[in-house]
Amino acid sequence: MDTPIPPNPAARFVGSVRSPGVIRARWWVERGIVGFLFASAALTILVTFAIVGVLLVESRKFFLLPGASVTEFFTSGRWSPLLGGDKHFGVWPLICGTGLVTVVAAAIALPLGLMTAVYLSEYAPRRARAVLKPILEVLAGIPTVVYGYFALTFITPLMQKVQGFVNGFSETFAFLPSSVHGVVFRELDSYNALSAGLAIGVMTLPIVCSVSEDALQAVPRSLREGAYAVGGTRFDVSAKVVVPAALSGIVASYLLAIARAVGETMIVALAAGGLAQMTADPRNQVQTMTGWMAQILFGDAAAGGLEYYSTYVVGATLFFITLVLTIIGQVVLVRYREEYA
Amino acid sequence: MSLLSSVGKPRRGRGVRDRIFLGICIAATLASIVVLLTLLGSIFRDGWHFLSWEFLENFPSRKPEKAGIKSALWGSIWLACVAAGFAIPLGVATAIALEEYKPRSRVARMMHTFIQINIGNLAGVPSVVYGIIGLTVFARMFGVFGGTNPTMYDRMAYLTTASGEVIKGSVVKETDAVIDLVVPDRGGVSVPVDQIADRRDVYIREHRFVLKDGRDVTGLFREVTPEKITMNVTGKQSDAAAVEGDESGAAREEVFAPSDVKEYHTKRFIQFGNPDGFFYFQLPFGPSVLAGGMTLGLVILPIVIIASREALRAVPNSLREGALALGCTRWQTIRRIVLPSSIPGIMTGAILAMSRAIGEAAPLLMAGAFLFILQTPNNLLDSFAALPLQIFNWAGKPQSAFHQLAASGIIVLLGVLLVFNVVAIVIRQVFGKRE
Amino acid sequence: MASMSADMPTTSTPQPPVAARGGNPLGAIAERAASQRGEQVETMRAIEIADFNCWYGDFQALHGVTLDVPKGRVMALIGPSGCGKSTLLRWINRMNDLVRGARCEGTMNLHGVNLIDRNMDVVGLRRQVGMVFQKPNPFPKSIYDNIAFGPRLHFKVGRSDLDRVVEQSLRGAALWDEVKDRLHKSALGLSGGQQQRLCIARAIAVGPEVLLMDEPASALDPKSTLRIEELIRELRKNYTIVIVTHNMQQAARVSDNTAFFYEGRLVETGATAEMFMNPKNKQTEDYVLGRFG
Repeated sequence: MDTPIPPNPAARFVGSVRSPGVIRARWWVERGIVGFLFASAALTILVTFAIVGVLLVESRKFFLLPGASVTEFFTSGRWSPLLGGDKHFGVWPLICGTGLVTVVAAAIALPLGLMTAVYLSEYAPRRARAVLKPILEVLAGIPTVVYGYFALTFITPLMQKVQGFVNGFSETFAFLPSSVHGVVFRELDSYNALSAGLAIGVMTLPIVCSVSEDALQAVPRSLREGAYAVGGTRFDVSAKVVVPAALSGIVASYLLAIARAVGETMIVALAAGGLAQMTADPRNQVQTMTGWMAQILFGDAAAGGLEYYSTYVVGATLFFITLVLTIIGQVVLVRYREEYA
Repeated sequence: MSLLSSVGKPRRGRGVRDRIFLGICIAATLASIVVLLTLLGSIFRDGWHFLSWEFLENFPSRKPEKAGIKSALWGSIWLACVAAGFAIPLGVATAIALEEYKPRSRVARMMHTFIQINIGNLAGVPSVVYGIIGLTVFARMFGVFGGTNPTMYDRMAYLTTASGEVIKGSVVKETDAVIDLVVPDRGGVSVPVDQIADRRDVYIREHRFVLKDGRDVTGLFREVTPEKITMNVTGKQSDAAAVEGDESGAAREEVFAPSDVKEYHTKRFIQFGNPDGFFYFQLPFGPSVLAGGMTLGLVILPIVIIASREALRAVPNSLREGALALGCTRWQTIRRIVLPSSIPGIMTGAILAMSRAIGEAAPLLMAGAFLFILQTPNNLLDSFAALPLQIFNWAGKPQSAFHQLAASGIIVLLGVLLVFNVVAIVIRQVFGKRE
Repeated sequence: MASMSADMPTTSTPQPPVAARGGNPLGAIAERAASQRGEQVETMRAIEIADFNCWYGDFQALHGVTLDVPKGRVMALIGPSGCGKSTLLRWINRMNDLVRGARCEGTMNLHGVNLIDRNMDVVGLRRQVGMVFQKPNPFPKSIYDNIAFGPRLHFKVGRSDLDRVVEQSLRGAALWDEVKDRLHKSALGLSGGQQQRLCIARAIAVGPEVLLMDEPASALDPKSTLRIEELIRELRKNYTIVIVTHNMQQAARVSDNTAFFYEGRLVETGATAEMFMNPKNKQTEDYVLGRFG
């Protein structure tokens, strides 16, 4: 050992320790940055308060206008704001329209999404997954206005053909009482809840699928092995052990998808029509809450007036409904994460 | 063995049931593929016809064969940039605050949980609600600056003559020698150019006239001549009219002569710069790129936060501990260790969020996109068109030629989204390999 | 290391005292355990494994294993981590079918039926060959439903029969007295040791002939381990048991036969007492004496 190794390799830096001023400046910079970070986080809360505040304040303006009443809004079944003299603002037809479209969408998205998730999680060979996952991502990434176009120009004509085919049996079933006959055999409106609902169903399918699949994948391997070890077939294992174990995650995916369906605007604006009515037949045209807001505030609407302020009340109702759905969904989701934490 | 030999018959057909179930699952999966192919197929079939270079170069037109999407395409690009510039810094900062500064006190922990739940809820708020918020907060700014439509303005010239007199008027005609003005409370005035010491153009948001017959008229000019001023009346009177049962929202018209004016007031924007140039700012934002982009920013903020948190969470704790053990501060650890290794994930999330913003239409319906815009935006406060809204507009028209235009627009929109996604994939690949 | 041909269990012959051979105290445990059980003279084979190789992708996990598991006995598979003992166990009820890229060749017969045959009814096989895992894995259902899960899958059983099966299985797993008052409560509320006995009960509820146990007590505290070991000795009367264990003392206490694996090969197999006191192979000796592993 010719050159002795210094006891501390950093010894030669010791003379150049940063001055207290620099260190203090750094401390302040750090404080500033942390301040910015937490201000950003706080801003997300501010956004929520802004949403709630704006909706409440502007809704109040609506109820203060002559011609509007709280009771009528929440209890009346008539929504006819654009008729000259006889205006009615009862929100139920809009909720009914939204509900009808959502039910059609859910009938598509919930079962298909879960089935697809089960296939991807429990059955699909790796190569099939490699193809299917991107396809679902593409479906999830398509803008809703494209689904709206699809609903209007493809699904509606298709459904009209289907209805036409059904109507071909009108004579055969002439013996049915006219009340039944009239319900089954009729024309499909060119704007209708059915097409919009189907398109929304396809749009929300990837949400159901990906959240459900995450939930299925989160079921511990040991549970599956336990079920296989007592001689379960794949069906037994997935349907009786894995799906029940992932149930809360699946329910959460359903709620999130329904919340998306309720809040969807462009598809209903294009395909569902604009006539607010209480109906359970998806072949009718309906007005949804989102559809109403889009119709009134479209483009450069002048502020003021009953219609203008009614959009805030409808918006507040919509916000409340989706908020409840997402909060329940989140609670359920958190709970199932805890189960397997 | 012994337990069960007596209890029952073995079940049959379990294999068959298993296979039927698999069949149903595969059918469900195939259904989504079929739908996707049908959707793309029908759009390309409809949209191929109008797709050409001119389609990208032309502005919207009432004639389908001449219509294009230049304004919408550029509007969307502006919007995506504004939304990203708004949401990405805020989103990443929020994610860092939540992920890297774990709360210690009980109150802080409650706040932490509350913010997390809140972000989950924001992600579930329908975009149409964000639209109405963007309209109220960004475009109209609660009406505290007055006026209902801030992007509409009258341009008035304020001339200072050599003698020091200030003439405020609407320019009717301008030549090398003389400027003809209508001064609203005086009538026509001609000012020789060589007498003008200074000229400033001012943008008026609202004129208010109190007339000699007692009328109180607030609004913007429709037409101005030396003899007659025609006004589009806006503001409170229009509100009252709407409540009374007039056709809603339609501007009323008032006509009077300059000689009828008793009092004349103007309201100007809070504004800096020239509305036709790049450097321009005004309050309220009005239905402008800035308002629309910030509204879209709100829509994608939760997405950015959630994606960034995932990316930060993927950084192993051992890296953080290593840096902290060397005496790095929290922020130094984040800047030099955590952010560099999570930046691919963050960027991927950010780009996907931007592509969501590009496809989003509902908030723009409200925060003010115009459909018939024959220019690309000049500045952040300019009015704009957007791809999905242009598509919406065309799809809503009854003629099938416009449906084909909508399909062509969809192809362009999907093309833009494809570019974004390819960029995201490339980033993932390039950064993924480097590690 | 060449694989050894199977040693048949032999009746216990008088052995010299352990100390005299300077051997392993575990040998004494095994000997005492064997004498407590009372050795049976039975040579029927439950499982015959011959020249068995298997791979995970390109990695060969087992090399030419030949081993017989006698019926109605406890066979312990021992060896250091990664030696292939769990792999072998998981082939016996084909759990390795669930692992991507796992394949095998050779012979593995259960009562003369080749169970690695491609056309084997895997579901039926797993009913005959139950398995208990390292970590207890009760389903998130009630205790009753956990036990009834298997019988409901395989048989059409009435309510009263099912009740009887559940009770007998729980008794068989020495759990009945502890849980009989809360059969319809969630199984996740049981302690770790109880959960593991529940899993054993779940396995025996479908009436298997063979029970596979993959380190069944490694996740449990000493007291629960003891209970599981007692249970294994009890179950031995009705089932053939193959148990993988890292715990040498456990192997000595519960098993009749032991097979030592090292790096994917079967090094030595024989009666447990013999293996511990008188290992033929140097590696086996080193391992059972705790010199490595």
